[in-house]
Amino acid sequence: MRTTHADDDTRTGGRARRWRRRLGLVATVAVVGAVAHIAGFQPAVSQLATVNAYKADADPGMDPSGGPWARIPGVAVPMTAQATTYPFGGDAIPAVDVRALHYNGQLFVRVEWPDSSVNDSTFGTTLFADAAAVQFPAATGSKVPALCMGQADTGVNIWQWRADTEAGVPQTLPEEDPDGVADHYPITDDLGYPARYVGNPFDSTGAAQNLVAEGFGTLTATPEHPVNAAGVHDGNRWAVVFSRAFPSPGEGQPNLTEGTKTDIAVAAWNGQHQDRNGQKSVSQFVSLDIGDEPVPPDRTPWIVILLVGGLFVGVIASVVVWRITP
Amino acid sequence: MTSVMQPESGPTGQVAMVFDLNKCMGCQTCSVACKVLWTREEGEDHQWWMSVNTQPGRGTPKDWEDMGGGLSGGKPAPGRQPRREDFGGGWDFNYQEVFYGGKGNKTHLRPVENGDNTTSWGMNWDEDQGAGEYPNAYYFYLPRLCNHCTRPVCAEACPTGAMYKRREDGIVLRNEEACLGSRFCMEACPYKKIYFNYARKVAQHCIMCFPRLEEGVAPACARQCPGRLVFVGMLDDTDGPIHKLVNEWGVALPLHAEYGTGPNIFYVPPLAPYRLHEDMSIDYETPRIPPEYLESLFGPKVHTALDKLKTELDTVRSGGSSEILDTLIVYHWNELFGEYTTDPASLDRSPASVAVQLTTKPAG
Repeated sequence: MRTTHADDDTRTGGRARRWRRRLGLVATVAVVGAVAHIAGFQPAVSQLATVNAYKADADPGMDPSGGPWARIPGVAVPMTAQATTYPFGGDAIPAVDVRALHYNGQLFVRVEWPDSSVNDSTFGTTLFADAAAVQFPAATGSKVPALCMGQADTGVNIWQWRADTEAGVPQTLPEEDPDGVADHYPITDDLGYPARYVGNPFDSTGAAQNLVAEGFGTLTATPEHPVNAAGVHDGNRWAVVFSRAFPSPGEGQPNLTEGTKTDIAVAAWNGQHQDRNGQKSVSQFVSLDIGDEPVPPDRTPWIVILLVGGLFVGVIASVVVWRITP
Repeated sequence: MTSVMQPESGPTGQVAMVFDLNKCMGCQTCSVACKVLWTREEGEDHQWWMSVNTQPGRGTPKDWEDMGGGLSGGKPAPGRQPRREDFGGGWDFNYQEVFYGGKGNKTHLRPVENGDNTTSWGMNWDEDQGAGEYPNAYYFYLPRLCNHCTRPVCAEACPTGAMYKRREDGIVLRNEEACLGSRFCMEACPYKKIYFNYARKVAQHCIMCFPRLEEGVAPACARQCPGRLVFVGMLDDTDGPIHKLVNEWGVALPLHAEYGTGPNIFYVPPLAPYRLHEDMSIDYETPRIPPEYLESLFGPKVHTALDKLKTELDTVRSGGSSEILDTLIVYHWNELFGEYTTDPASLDRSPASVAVQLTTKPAG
C-alpha cells in the first residue's frame, strides 16, 4: 500500500500521543506511589487478623478523629448477628475498623463503624442507644475464653461505651428544677431518698463501663472506673476511643504491657434497630499485639509538597514532551 | 464477683396482698405513699409503682391490657413495649406563670407541654369516667402494683440475670447494678408495671417495700391506706386472712389469671350498688357492673365470689354472723398486716442502721 506524507504525519502524531500518555501514566504512578509510601498507606493491611498497638510518641488523647489514628492502618473486622444466646439478633453493622495505640503505659483502642443515625437518647421506653464494646480475656497468655461472656475458668473483661451515657441526661431532666419547691415533697436529705442514700446504682462517672464476666448472666460492672471512652459521629460513622492504663485494675481484668500478645473482640449496637443487650453485632476474637513499632511520623507536609511538586513536574514534563515531539 | 443467683436451700414462702375493692375510694393515698418513699428522684417522675385506676378504663400505661406479654400455653407470649407517652407525665406545671407571672386570674394551673406527648396521658387520666348511663353509670377503683408473680416472666426475659425472685418471700427484685436497661422485662410483663428510669437507664418496679418487710413493717401502700382494705401476709399462712380469703373462701381473685404468670396480688371483686329502674325504683335483679366485664378482669370464679359475698351479706342482714365479712371489715387495724405490724416510728432510723437495712442483697 502506498503511503503519503499525511499518513506519515498521522503515524508520527499517534506515536507522540502514545508517548505522552505513557509518560503521563508513569509520572502519575510515581507521584501516587511516593505519596502513598510517605503517607504509610498499606492497602493490604486491612485483611490482617491482628491488631497491632503502635507505640505513640505523644499522648493521643481521647479524640478519635485525626492525629495519630490516621497514620496507622486499620483492621477491618467482620461482624455478624449475635446468634449464641437469647436475645439473638443485631446484624446492622457489617464490619468495624479497629486500630490500637499505646503511650506511656496506656492502651488506646479505636473502633469505627458505619451508622447514618445518631441514637444518643434513651429518654423514652422505646429509645435505645448506639454503643460499642471491646472484650479481652481476663488474663493474658491464658486460653482464649468463650466469645460470649467467657466461662467459669476463663473470664472476660469488657469495656463498653454508650452514646446516651456520653450525651448525658437530657435537658428535660434538669439538674436544677425551677419548680422543685412546688413539685416535690419537702424532704431534702438523702435519708428521704433511699436509693440515693445507698449510692444506687447508675455509674455516671463517664461514658464507659468496665465489666467482668465468667459466663452468661454473670456480667458485672466493677466498682472502679479505670476505662475512659469517647465517641464522635461524623454524619455517617461512629468512631470511639477506649483507653486504660496497662496495670490490671483488679480481678478479671488483664494486666497489659508492651510486648503483650492477647486477643480482642468487638461488639456494636445500632440503637435505630432497637439493638440492646445480646441483640448486637459481634466479631470473633482477633489478635492484639502491643508492640514497639512506632507510629509513623506525621508526613502531611511532605505529602502536600510532593503533590504540588508532582503536579508541577507533571505539567513541565507534559509541556517538554509536547515541544520535543514533531 | 457479684452473683444474683439465689441460694438453693432455706425457707420458702410467698408474700401476698389482698385488696378489697368494695372499700377502695380511689383516694390515691397508697400511690402517693409509694411515690414519696421510692420514686422521687430524677428519671422517676413518671413512675407510679403503686397506682389506682378507674375501671372500666384504659389504665396506665394507656391500654396496657392490649400490650401482650405473659405466658401463652406455658410459653412466653410476645409483648409490646409501652411507650413513654403511654405512661404520660411527670409533668412540669406553669407554676411560675400562675404564681409569679403577674397574670392573676387570667391563667390557670396546667401542665406544660414539652412537645413529647406526655401531657396526653397520666397514671389516673380517666379517673371517675367509668361506663354506663345515668342513673346506672358504674365504675370502681383498681389499685395495681407489681404482682410478684409465681412465674415472673420479667425475670425469665432478663438476659443479664439482674432480676430474680427471692426464695424466702417470693418478692421479685432487680439487682440494679446488673441491670443494663435493656427493657426486655417491660415487654414480657403482661401487667406493664415495670418502668424505665430515664436518668439511671435501668428498669425499676415495686419492690414490695422489702426493707420494711424485713423489719416487720407493712409496705407503705398498705399501711397508709385510709380505707383499711389492703391485707399483707404470707399466702401459705393458713391462720392468716389472705390464705382464707384466697384459698379457703375463694372471695379474693387474681387479676387476669389468664396471663399465666401466677400473680400474688388478689382482689375482692366489687359488688356495687343496685341499679335503678326508669321510675327510679331499685332493680334487685340486674347487677350494676356487668358480670361479663368483671369476668374479663378476674376470671369466671368472680361469679362464685360475688355470690358468696351476697350470701354472707344476707346472712348478716338477717341477724346472723359472717367470718368472711368480719375479716373484710377489719375491726382491728393490725389484722391487715399479719406478721408485719411493727410501727416504723419505733425503729432505729439512724443513718447507719438504715444503710444496713437498705443495702440488703440476695445471698450467694
